[in-house]
This record gives sequence, C-alpha cells and structure tokens, in this order.
Amino acid sequence: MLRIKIHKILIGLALATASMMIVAPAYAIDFAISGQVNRATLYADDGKSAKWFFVDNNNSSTRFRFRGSNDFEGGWKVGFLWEVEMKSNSSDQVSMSDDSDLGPVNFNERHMDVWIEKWGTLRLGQGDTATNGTSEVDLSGTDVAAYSSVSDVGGSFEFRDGNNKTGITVGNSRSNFDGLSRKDRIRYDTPRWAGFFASGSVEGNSEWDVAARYAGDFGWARFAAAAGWADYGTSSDSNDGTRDGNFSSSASMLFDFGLNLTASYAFRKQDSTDPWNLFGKIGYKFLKKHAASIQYSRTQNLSAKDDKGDTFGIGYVFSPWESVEFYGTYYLFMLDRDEGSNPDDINIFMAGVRVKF
Amino acid sequence: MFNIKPKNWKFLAAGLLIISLAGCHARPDEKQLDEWKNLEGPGEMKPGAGLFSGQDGELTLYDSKKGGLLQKKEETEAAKPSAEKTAQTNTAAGAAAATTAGTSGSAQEFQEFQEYQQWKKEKQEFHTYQEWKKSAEDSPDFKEFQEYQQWQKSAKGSSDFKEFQEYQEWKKSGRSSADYKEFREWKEFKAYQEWKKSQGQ
Repeated sequence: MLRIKIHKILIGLALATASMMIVAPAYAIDFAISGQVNRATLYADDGKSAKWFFVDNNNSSTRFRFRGSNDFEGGWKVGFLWEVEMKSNSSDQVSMSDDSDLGPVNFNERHMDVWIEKWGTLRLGQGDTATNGTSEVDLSGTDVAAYSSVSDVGGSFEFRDGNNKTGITVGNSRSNFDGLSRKDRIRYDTPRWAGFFASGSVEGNSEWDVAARYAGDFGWARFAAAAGWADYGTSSDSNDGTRDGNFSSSASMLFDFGLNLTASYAFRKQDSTDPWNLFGKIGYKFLKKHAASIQYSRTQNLSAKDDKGDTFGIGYVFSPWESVEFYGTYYLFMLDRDEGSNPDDINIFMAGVRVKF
Repeated sequence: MFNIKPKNWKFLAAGLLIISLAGCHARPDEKQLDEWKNLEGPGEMKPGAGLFSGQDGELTLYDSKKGGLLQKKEETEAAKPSAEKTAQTNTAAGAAAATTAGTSGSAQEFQEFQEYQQWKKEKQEFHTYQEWKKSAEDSPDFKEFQEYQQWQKSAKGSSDFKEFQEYQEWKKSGRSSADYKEFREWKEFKAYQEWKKSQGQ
C-alpha cells in the first residue's frame, strides 16, 4: 500500500515537473522541496502509572512538501503545494495502554493544492480552510513546544480517579476550536490591504467558513490577529445537526525587547452546552536564540456541561542555528467535573528537536 | 436601534482595537503575512532557513532564474567567464569574512554593498566612456574601436534577431525604464571595455 502511494507521488511529481518545463512560461518557474523532522521524548504520569515514549511532536509534525509555481504574462501566477506528513508515534496518539511503538506508519495528506493568483489567491484541493489557524496566532517563538492546541501533546491520555478510568481523555476535555482544519475545499484569499486580508472557503455538505487576518509592525512591536466563523452545514462536524458552527479568534503581540503576549478565545455553537475555550500566554525572547513562555487555558462544557478542562504549560525553545530548534515542554492537565469526583491530574514532560532540511 | 447581544460586544471591541492599532502608523508586517501565505507557523511548517537548503529554506530543483533542472546556483556561477569571476572574488571573500564574523544576514548585506560599489564603479566608467566618445569621435583611436566592433560582429555572426533577444534579456534584468538608445550605447560601452582589455593583453 505504502509502495503504491510512493509510486503515485513520484509519477505525479514527474508529471508536474515535466508540464512546468514543457509549457513555455512567460517568466519565472520554480520547483522546490522542503521539510522538517520533529522528534521528541515524552514522559507521562497520570497519577496511577508513569511511562516514557519516543514520539513525533504533533505541535508541528514530521513532513515534507513539494512546491512549484509559474509566473505568466499579465500578472497571473499558478502553482501547487503538496505536503505530506509521516508520524511515527504521534504525541497526541500515545497512551498508557500502548506498546512503545504505535502500529503502522502511513503518509497523511496535509496539502494537495492548486492555486491561481491574480486578484487575490484562489486555492482548490485539500488544504487549509479559511478558519484554520485562527485560534493559533502566536509570535512567542515557543509554539513548537507549547501553543493553544494543548491536546497535540498527550491528547490520548485518559484521566483516572484512583484505580478507575473516567473514560475522558485530555483530547476530549479541551480544544481550541480552531475552525475547520484542513479539508477538500475551494478557498479565496483577498489581496492584502494595509496588513489585512480576508478569506472564505466552501467545503462539501454545505459547510463554509470565513476569516479575517491582520499583521502589523509598529516599529516597537509586532502585532498579529485572526478571527473566523465556521458553519458546519450538514457535514459530520455538525454531529447530526447538534452543532451549528464555531467562532475562533486569537491575537499575539511581540515587543521589540522580547516580551510577548498571546491570547485566544473560541466557542462552538452546540445544543444546550456551547463549549468555549480561553487561552493566555506570556513569553520572553532573549539573547536572540532563546524563547520561553508560560500559558494557561480553560475549556468549559466540552466533556460534559460545566466540566472544566484546565491546562498549565511551560515551553522553552533554544535555536543554536536557524534550522535547528531544541525544545522542552511541561503540561499539567486538570479536569474539574461537575458531576462525580475530580480525577487525578496528568503531568507531561517532553523534550525534543525540530530540524528543517 | 441595534440589538447587540452582550457577548457580541467582545467581538466588536476586539475589531475596533485591531482597527485602531492598525491606525497607529503600523506598517503591514510582511514577514507574518508571508508566513500565513506559505502556511508556516504554529502547527505548520517551521519558517526560515533549512539545514541543507540554507537561507531559502527549500531545495530548489528547478528555477528558471538560476538555471536548469537540478542546476545549483554555484554551477551557474561557475559557468561565468573568468573575468567576471575575478571581479567577484573580492565580493565572495568579503561575504565569507562577514559570515565568519557575524550572521548570514550581515554577509548578504556586505555582498549587496559590494555589488552596489561595483555598479557605481561601472557607472562612472560608463560616463567616462561617453565623454571620451564625444571628444574623440574623429580620432584614430575611435576609428580603431569601430573597426573592432565591425570585426566582432562578423566574427560572432550577429543578427538583428539575436540583438533583439539580448535587448529583451537586458530589459528583464530590471532596466526597463531605459530606452533602446541607451541600451545600444551600453552595448557599445561593453564592447569598448572588451576592446580595451584586448589592447592591454
């Protein structure tokens, strides 16, 4: 199966390259490969037992990408993006009941996108929906260690109450409700205007979303923000019509002396519960190669009405060279249940390295 | 008049805050906007340089500006005439020194500075040539130069079409504001430099 996929990828790439070279361009053509490897060691303690894992950090997983573009006469630009991830022991999948190695490793599609740029950018294929990333704007420089999507690390660990399993994992008790993620869709981005641009995308089953983004530089600080609304339509996200959609937003400010502040607020419109998430982070970049941050977030009403999933996190990143980042993460996952006793906290330590090649 | 729910005031306030910040003489943060465009950042690909790909952050298999398939920039550089390479030696050495001394960013700045100096020097020489052309139009030197040009044309099998192609290339390289006459004069100047070089040998 894997071999067939690799053959398909190679044939596709050969065709893409050949077509870009055969079709006479008006101006520049380029075709490039890039990627990253992000591996870490993870230690988890759920109050009952503790275990070591060797994981692929799902904050920014191991992947590679092919990118190509061609400039045509009249200001038209056409290109493609093909990005595939390959995770062995993803940090959001490992759990106490797992062996040290989590089954077969497969390629996972992230982007298979064709885009056309003239008056804005039109994208067609598998890729980011307009709202993807609207809860995750982060200028702290520690996002590879810890950011608003806290369940990317340890998301499958289950809360325990003494010897009893609660049936609630880290992942289903907290979320940053970050739009519609990546899907097969058609997406349009407006041209940039004074640091602003807006996006809209339509997916299958009447699902759609819109978003706006801003990035400005004041000289003494950089500021970035995003917000969006996603409507689930009749897709599986609507959970048989019990969920309408979600709002997601985030903003981050990085002062020129290194201090940075990040916040995110999002909620899902859902029958009777309307779960929401609030996230805050304070960070400091120092000595050019170091970044550290402390964060706290609360998700309420997700695992059950009035349940509170609180997360405290510390992240540290050291970049001795621009292409290499060493990082350390600490997460304390807490669950305060409205009904029943409160389970034990889950402690997670992770240390790893991300290398871009 | 408007029935805005209390929760929605938060969004309105956030929107107004962003707009007012944007109004505080903020320049668009192109770095962040490019990261969004290139799908880099939290959860996405690491922005910036790569271990093997260098500052570009990607291994370029094909780039029509740099050369053919799998042709590296260095190989394109190697294909240049030795005279050009000699002129660039100082630049490369300076850039290497700057890299050793500081960051790769300063090395690039140093290279740009060297290129700017080279351009300034060449521009000055071009003006000297123009002056010389005006004053020495009937001199034996100028006549010899014209003969050299004629000989070069016949030796290289030059045609109008070839010259037109060269003009197009020259225009693409960013001198689109100059008129064709200036281009011709520039070409003449280049030939003059060649001629002077051949005289010196």
